[in-house]
Formats: sequence, C-alpha cells, structure tokens
Amino acid sequence: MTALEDTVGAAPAAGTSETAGTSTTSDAADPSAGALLAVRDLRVSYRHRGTYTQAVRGVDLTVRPGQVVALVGESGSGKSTTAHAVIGLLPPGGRIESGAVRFAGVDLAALPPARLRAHRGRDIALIPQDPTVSLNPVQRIGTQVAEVLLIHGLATRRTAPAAAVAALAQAGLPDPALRARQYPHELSGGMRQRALIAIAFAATPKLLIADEPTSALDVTVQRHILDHVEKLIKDHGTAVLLITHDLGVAADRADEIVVMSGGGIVESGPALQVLHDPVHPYTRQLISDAPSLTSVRTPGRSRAGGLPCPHRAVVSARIEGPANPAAPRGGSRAAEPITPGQTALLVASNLVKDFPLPRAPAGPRSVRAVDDVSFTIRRGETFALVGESGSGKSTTARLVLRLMDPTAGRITLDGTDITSLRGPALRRLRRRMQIVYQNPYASLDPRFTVGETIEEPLRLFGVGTRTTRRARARELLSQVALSPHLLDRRPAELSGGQRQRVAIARALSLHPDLVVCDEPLSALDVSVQAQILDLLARIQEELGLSYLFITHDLAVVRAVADHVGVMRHGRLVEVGSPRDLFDNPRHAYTQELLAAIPGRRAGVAGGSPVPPRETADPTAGTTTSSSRRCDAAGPSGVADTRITYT
Amino acid sequence: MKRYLIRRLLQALFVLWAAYTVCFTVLYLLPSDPVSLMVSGGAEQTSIDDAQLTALRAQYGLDKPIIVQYVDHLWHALRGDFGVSVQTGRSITQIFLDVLPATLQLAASAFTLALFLGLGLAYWATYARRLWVRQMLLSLPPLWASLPTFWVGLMLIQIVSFRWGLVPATGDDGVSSLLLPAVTLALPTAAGIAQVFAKSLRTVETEHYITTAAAKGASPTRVRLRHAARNAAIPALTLAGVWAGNLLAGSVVVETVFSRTGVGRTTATAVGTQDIPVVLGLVILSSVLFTAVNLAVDLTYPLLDPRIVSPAADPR
Repeated sequence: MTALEDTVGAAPAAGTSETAGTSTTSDAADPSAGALLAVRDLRVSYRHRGTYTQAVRGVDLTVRPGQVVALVGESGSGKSTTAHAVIGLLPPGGRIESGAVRFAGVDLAALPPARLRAHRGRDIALIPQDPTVSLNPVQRIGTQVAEVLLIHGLATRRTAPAAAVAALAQAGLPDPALRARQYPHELSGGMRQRALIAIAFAATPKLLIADEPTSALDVTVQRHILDHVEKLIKDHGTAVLLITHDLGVAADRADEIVVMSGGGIVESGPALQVLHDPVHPYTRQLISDAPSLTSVRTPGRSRAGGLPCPHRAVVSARIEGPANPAAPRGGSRAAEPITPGQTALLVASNLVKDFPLPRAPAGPRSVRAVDDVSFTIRRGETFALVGESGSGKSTTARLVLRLMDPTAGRITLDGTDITSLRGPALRRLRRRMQIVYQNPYASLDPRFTVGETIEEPLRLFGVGTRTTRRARARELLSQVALSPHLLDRRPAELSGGQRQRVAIARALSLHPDLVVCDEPLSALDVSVQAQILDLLARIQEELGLSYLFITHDLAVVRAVADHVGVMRHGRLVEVGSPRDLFDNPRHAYTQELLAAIPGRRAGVAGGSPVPPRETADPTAGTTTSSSRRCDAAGPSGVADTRITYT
Repeated sequence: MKRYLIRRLLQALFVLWAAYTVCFTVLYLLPSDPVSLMVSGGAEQTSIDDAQLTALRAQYGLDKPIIVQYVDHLWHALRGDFGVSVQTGRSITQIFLDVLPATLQLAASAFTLALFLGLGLAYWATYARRLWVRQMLLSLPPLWASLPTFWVGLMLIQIVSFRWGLVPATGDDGVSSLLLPAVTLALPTAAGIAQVFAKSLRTVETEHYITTAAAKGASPTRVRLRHAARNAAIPALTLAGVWAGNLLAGSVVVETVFSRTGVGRTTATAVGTQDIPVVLGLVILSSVLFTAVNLAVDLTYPLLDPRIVSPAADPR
C-alpha cells in the first residue's frame, strides 16, 4: 500500500510537472520493483498538419500484479491515448515523445516492433471499446479467437479450433461451438463483447487493458459482462488497466482510481479514498456530475403525487403567482395557469405496434414491438420511459408523436383523439409535439447554419417574417444558454453539448406542449450531461413544458422524472414515481435494472457521504447534500439498492 | 438463399425484356427501310419493282403493324430465333456464336489482367514504405482512366509491334496477338479497381477490428492481408463485377483497332450497313451475356461478404 500512498501524495501536485518529476524519483525504486506495469513520465503527441500537439503530458502510472486500476476522464483527457501507448497501438500520427513504459521490467516504448508484438496479445491483451465494430466482419468468430493462439504458437492448426471454442466457453458465451462457426453480424452486442473477451483471455495475459469495455452495451448486459471479467481476472490473477468515463464503473470495479484531465493526472489513489475524499476540484466535479453516483435530489415542497425535482419549486410558484415573465412568447397557451399533476396533457391507452417480419418458412409473421402500453403525461411534468435497447421505448415515442401509426390503441392530446389524424390536422399537430434526438452529431444538417437549423420549423410553418424568425432564433439561443454569435456557425464548429443545445432550441421554436427527449444525453460526456439536464429542467420551469424522456439509464431518470414507466419486451412492466421505483421496485426486471446501475458498491464502506454538490447551479435551488447508503449486509441484490434520503 | 436467387433471376429477366423493348423501339423508328437498303446494297444493280419490294417486306414481316412485329420478334427471340441478316441471309444466332469465343477470350483475359493489376497496384501504393513511391503509384490510376482506349491501342501497336516487333499488331491467332488488346481493354478497368481498392484500404486502416488484430500481436503483413485487404476488397470487387460487363462493350473499339473478329466488330459492321435485324439480335444477345455475368457476380457476393445473405442478429 505504500506505493499507492506515494502516488496519492504526488497526485494533487501532478498538475505541475516538476513536482510530478520529484515524486517519480522518490518512488521510482520502490513501485517499479513490484510493479507489473510502470509508466513513467509518458508524453504522447499527435501530428496535425505538420505540428505536434501533446495529448498526454507526463503521466505516471503503476499497476501491480492482480490489481485493477481505473483510468477515469472525459473524452479528450488522454486516457485512451495513454492506454494505447502502453501497447504501442497509437493511431496514425501519434508517437511517444518521451518516457518509459516498463512491463515486467522491460521498457516497451524502447522495444523494436517485432519484440513488442511478442508481448501483445500474449502478455498484454486489449478489450476494445465498441464490440459492434471491433470484430472482423468477414471472418468467423472461431477463426478470430484462434488467431491469437496461432500467432503466439500456443496452438497448432489442428488444436486451435477446439482451443478457440474452449476460450469462448470460458468467456461465458452460450453454445460456444455454434458461435465459433458464426460471423460477427449474427451475434448480439453482448455476445460480441464476450467473443472479444475470449480473444483477450485466450493466451491468459498478465495485464488486461479494457478500453471502455461496456460503454456501448445496455446496463444489465454491462453488469453481467463486467462481473464475468471480474471472475476471470480473479481466477487468473490478471491485472487490469480499466479505461472508463464512468466513475460509477470505476467505483465498482477498481482498487485504485487515476483521474485524468487535459493529458495529465489530476488525482490518484485507492478507489474509496478518491470517491469519498476527492482532493482535486475536477474530481469533485466528475463525481457530482456522474448521475449514477449522485444521489436523489432531496424532496422539495412535497405535493400530492409529486416527487422531488429541482424545478418543482418554481413550477409550484407559478401556480400561486403570475406566469413566469420569461415565457411570454409561449402565447396564451403557456401563460395559462398550469396545474401539474392534475391536467393530463397526453394519454396513451393500450397502444400496440406490430412490425411485419420477412416471410420465413417457420416462425411468426410479425413481431410485437409495443404491447398494450398505457400511460399519462401531465402538463409540466416529465414522464420517463426506461428500458434496454429493443424494449420498445423508442417505438412508443414514435407512436405518441404520430410518426408511426399504432396497430391498436388510442392517443389523446388535451382530450382530443389524435390517433387517426391525417393531412392538415396531423401537420398542425406537429407544432405541439417536438423531439430532441439522441445523437446531436447526426440530427443536425451539417450544411445548415445554427440559425437556419433553428428557424427551419418556423419557415416550414410560415411563422413570422425573415426578421422576426431571426429574432426568435436569437432569443432561443439565449434560452438554451448559447451566444447569439453562433447563429452563423455550422454544426461541425460546435461541441457535442452545444449541438444538443441547438437541437433543443429547434425543438422549442414552435412553442410545443410536449417535447420527446430520445436518449438526449447518451452521446455526451458526463459533465455535459449534467449541464443539459439542468438546461432541460430550467426550460421546463420557464415554459411549463411536458417531457417524454426516453432513456436506458435509471440514474438519469432519478434526476429528471416525475413518473417513470419501465419497459421490457414491448410491455410496460411497472409505472410509478421514481421514489416508489427506487425504494420499492415490485417487478423483478426493475430490481435487476436497479442492481445494474454502476456505482452501487461505492458506498460499501459507508460513513463518508458522497460530497455535496457545491458546484450545482444555484438556480436549481433544491440540490443538496444527501447521501446514499447501501446496505452492505443486505441479503439480496434488492436490499443493496436501498436508498436513503437525508 | 433460394429467395435471393429467385429474386435476382426475375430481375435479370426484367432487364432483358427492357433492353429488348428499348432497342426494338429505337431501331424500328429509324427512318430507313431495310428492304430498299438490302436491294440497293447488292453488287448488281438489278431493278426491282414495287410489287417485288412489297413481297420482300411481307417475307420479312415488315408490312405488319409495329406492335405485331414487336410481339412476333419477342416470341421468336424467346425461342432463340433472332431472324436472319438482311445482308447475308445467315442466321443471327449463328453469326453471334461464331464470333463469341474470340470476344469472351479477350474480355476474360482483360478482366483477369485488370483484377491483378488494379488490386496489386493499390496494395503496393498504399503500403509502400517511401512517400514518393506511394504518391507516384497513386497518380497512375487517374492517368490510365483518362487515356482514350483507341489511342492506347494505337500507341501500343506503334511501339510494341512496329518499333520493337515483339507481338503481331493485328489479327487473332494465339496468345501473342491477344496480349496488346487485352492490356488496352484492361487499363481503364484496372484504374477503377485500383482507385476504389486504395481508397477503401485507407478507410479500413482506421477500423476498430484492425486494432483488435494488431492487439493480438499480429504482424503488419498479417493484419493487412487477413483483415484489411479482405474487407477493403469488397467494394473493389463489387465494382469489378459491374465493369465486367463493360469489358464486353469496350470490345467494340478494341476489336476494331486491332482488327480482331468479335461481337463488337460484327456489331459495328452491322450498324455501318444498317443491317437492323443483326444489330437488334446482337444487342439482345450481348445483354443476355451482360446479365449473365452480372448475375454470376451477384451470386458470388455471399462468398465475399457473409453479411449479404444471412440476416443480422436481433439487435439486443
């Protein structure tokens, strides 16, 4: 543990290179001796148009045998570059400027390529980020697993196929012999990730580099896979360098956490210490932004049927007083007194959607994507639909928006049946319901300027003149906290968070009553996610909007929703307030989802609460210090998920 | 697989029917009278009266309404009977079969050559160690593609045959006379294949499965051949399949320049003498060939890319 403490001691000062340098010398003799991997003062740069930019600036890192070290940071922090530099797999244009990567005493950074290759795959294995694109699409799974054994002479052409099947079985893939004969596109994402795990563990490496191994997968799948990897590393004594942007995952899985930002290490130390007593402000920010780690916001003024929500206070204020002056352009509609929790805005009753299947000799003719789904969205409230990919939540949203016709069921908006609206009436309906999509990189037309994007709905409905539309776009930009200077920019010049704000501004341009947010956060970094969540909440307060919030992340639900519906296989298995769901999940599937939220084990040590959200937006008003205590002694997974409000 | 096959076959039949209809319409709307041409084209200027002309028209079925002629021709064509040449009186099917082997030989050798040349050049151009070698090699395909075929043919004859005297300039006897026409015909196709393959090799470099392969400890050559090239070849070979048909079309110029017998040259001659039934017949038979080649290419896709036939997994 002394080595760890050394790193911890050095960490807060690591921002300045000379202190990092001294700490290196002080612990150089000590940790390198017992360390499996010792990265010392690593500097990596990328060439861009002839000039080199440093992406990693003097990183020190120690992984001891059997230890799990998590490298945490946001995109662009240099965490993936560090990991790739360790095995010499930097993307084109990247090069190690200086520093040492000592693996079992050998400096990998100084090895000739052929000798470095002898270590790759055999001693140090990689589990890549996105399983859907990380397997060769034209080679059978078995061949790809066998390849690593053949390369390192661990199997012969005759023994390799059987060895590959054994490796697949070890990775927990059902029917390994069948899977070995299949191609990647015939397997689900989770199965592909298991195949990649089989490749990584085939040669029983000493060190495993896991680069965001499950970020592309559903939470429950993620949990099963991480559990399995954990079992494998325990069995084989493998050390792990875990790259993740999710502090929750790091909290659950790592012995030690190293936080990176801007190419340098800002903090490192034993996992519990970093989580419960973060020294660096950046680490605190990360912790407070991670939805899975932040606890539920404390109950505000409690009202009938309501649940604590940051914007609640303001909404109720509006009931008592005059309409928020910030929202006059909402027209008479938005200025009307709103009584959330009372008026139903949208009611979906018994929705069913069947999709025809390609005709096959056997099997059903159609698949039921949405099966008897009923819910109500009240004015000014957020209804969240939670479920994994394929659960039917997005299809439900499309039915509600009338982008798709339901096979059966009824949808009413403000008491009017909109299930079978056609032509001009349907077009008018579009003004009242808008959508914010998941991926702001894909949902904005790259050739439109920000101004054109925001004005497009107004133009299409012939609202106002050119000048008033431009004025409206300006106003919307300020509403989503963007500078009006951005009006003439194109999406390529904006960051992910800025793009999502533009998408939100576009959705708001026609004064809709209901905005469908389809996984609006999943393509963004955690700190940006927190900002967008705050923005959505603020806009809801100001305009009295209703949201239908689609997400696979229960932790996000906790932060935004008034009511939650859990979907599985097209059915709504449980509906309730977030508090009911989190405190007292009735359906087994809800319990499983809750148990899968990463960051559960973080509180195991009890005692020290997750720090309060000091950095929280003051307008949010009600946030707070609150802690979540997990019942470590709980007899079942359910008990572990109990949450205590303070 | 069976459904896929049936669908492709139906598509092929539709293409053939469409080709026939377009061709028939264009050719029979031309303001020329094949019978008077046939009569005036003869060596001895025998005077023929109108009665005899009418009789001849009736014999060739040209006096019937256009729609009847269309159905008639289609019916005969379906049974492999494309009529006879108005110039020589020979069966058109026979004319086609006589010249077909020479054209197939030329197209097949040009295709093979184009494939090796194109894929080889692109691979070399992408992985050559020196920058200037890569740049020089990469500049070749656009150059090849922009040279006119007849000019390349004439230059090759001029240099290789006349100046160096290595191979015969014209004719069709044996491999030596096949070489120059095949090279001439192959160049534009090779250029296309090289451009597409080089582009997709560069794209594939950044694919995640390439990183996975490298992380296994595979050597650069192994990564390139087993993972990069195999995937990058898919678009290149897809285009090569489309161009395989173009090689048949390209044979018109090449066969004329090199004075080879073949479908292209025969068609060109028939157009010159306005032997309309021959033109129609040859065009139809060529489209049969073209369609057959494309069908064969389509059916080999699943061998290249397993994703084409078997359905994707349930996205879960």
